[in-house]
Amino acid sequence: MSAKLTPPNLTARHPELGTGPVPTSIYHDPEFYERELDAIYRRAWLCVGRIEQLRQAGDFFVKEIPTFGMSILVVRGRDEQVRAFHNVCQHRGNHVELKRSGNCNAFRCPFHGWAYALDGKLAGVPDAEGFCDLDRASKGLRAVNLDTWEGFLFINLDDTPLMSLAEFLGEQGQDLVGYPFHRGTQSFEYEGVVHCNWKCMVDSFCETYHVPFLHKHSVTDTLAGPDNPFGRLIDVRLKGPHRTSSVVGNMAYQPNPVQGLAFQYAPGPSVTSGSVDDETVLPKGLNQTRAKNWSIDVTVFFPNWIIVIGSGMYFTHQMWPLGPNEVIWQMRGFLRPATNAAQRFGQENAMVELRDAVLEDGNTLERIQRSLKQGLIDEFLFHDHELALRHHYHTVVDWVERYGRTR
Amino acid sequence: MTMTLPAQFSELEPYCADWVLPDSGARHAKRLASEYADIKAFYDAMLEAAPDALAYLAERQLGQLDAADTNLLKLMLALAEVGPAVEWYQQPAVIDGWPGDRFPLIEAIPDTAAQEI
Repeated sequence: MSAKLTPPNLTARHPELGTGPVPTSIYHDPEFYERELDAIYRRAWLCVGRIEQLRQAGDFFVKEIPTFGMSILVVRGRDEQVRAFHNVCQHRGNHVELKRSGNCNAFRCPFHGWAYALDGKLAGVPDAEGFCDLDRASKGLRAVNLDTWEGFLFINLDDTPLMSLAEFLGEQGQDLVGYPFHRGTQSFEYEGVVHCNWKCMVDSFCETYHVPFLHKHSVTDTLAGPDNPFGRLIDVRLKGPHRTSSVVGNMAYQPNPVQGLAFQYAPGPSVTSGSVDDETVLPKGLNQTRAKNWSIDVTVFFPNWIIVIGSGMYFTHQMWPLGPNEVIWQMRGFLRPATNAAQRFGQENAMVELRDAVLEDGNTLERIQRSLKQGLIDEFLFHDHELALRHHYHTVVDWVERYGRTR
Repeated sequence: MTMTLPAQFSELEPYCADWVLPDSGARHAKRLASEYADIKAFYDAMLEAAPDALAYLAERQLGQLDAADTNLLKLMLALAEVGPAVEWYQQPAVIDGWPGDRFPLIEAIPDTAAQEI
């Protein structure tokens, strides 16, 4: 089956983004980076986890926000409400909870034993008689705005967010409502520091123009194939600051031997097996053109969270900038549970293939960053099917400039 | 840890000492530290037995595996780990790959535990 390829007209749908090259200074300039932190990372909603991490009252996890060196405590209270706090004792500032996750009745700071209830209220102070003017009501944990979308937990570091999470995610959020995210109960996560700008890292997953070349040893045949030699996309959809690239799958792909066995025993349908979830359960916003040769949608929720949805599994990338030229990269996979031991093999194959394929991207990102820092690449000339990258550039500049005008 | 396998797979027992490993991270490290010829020999032997091994494992539930079944599953998980080394790269590591030790697994799916539906 050979579906018609998208002609090169994606960019023409968005005259506001222009067609020319974009200057590259925003991808390495330290001063611009500082402005991004205030204009974007302190104001946008940031994903910190999933609701399944907090099943019972007292379940908690600590999410590090490396960009700001912040530690955020997320906890389900006795009233079942999920709340987020800065993980900072209001006595002297030590972190209250040192474990990555767990269950407790209350949090007790390991420094002097100040205790906090699950709702953040100060619940106990050893030898309280020794303090003058101890106003317990004002010494609770400092709350962080938290809201949920489709079981994903988001925080906002602004005390008074620009807009609600639902408004922020907008149409892009609506498009994916109903996907069975909760069925991916088996998760794994990789983490590493990449010497590149956070935006370049985000961009590397949003175009497949590179797939026939950079991934020629691995996934080229899966995602491109003879009827799509240049890795063109099915579609790019721009929704506010967010964006989705719909990626072609080669439906004639013949799996390698180990892959073939793994697909046979995968706990969910596999992209390259050509099978998909019953279309009636898939949200209309996924594979929006209903292309028969669809494999995955890559959705970037601005600024730093990418969700890649195929049939049967999904995975996320999250980028936490550490500086203009350095980023923490977290890749988390969500697989359907195995019901027998053979399906565990299918899961391992999915994990290993995904890891090896993305390891092919890392060196290139670090070489690009060296070129940027050395001033040897002044502009990026984006291909029509790199439209998502053009949109990313304009979105970042727009957020930084609009924030600058408010100050 | 015993290094026995279910009787019908006993010809694979010589591979247990090297390839029955604690978890996904250990399997990746083993692949990167191995000679390609050893990986290929393991891959060839395992691939031949794999359809029967998977049919056997498909009849068994995670969380209820005995020692021999556990070893067989772990050998199969090691086959998944070395699959791309043979089928994609013909060398242990990813070609021009970002070093695997810079991207460690910080959370893994357990090898043999029952999985919540």
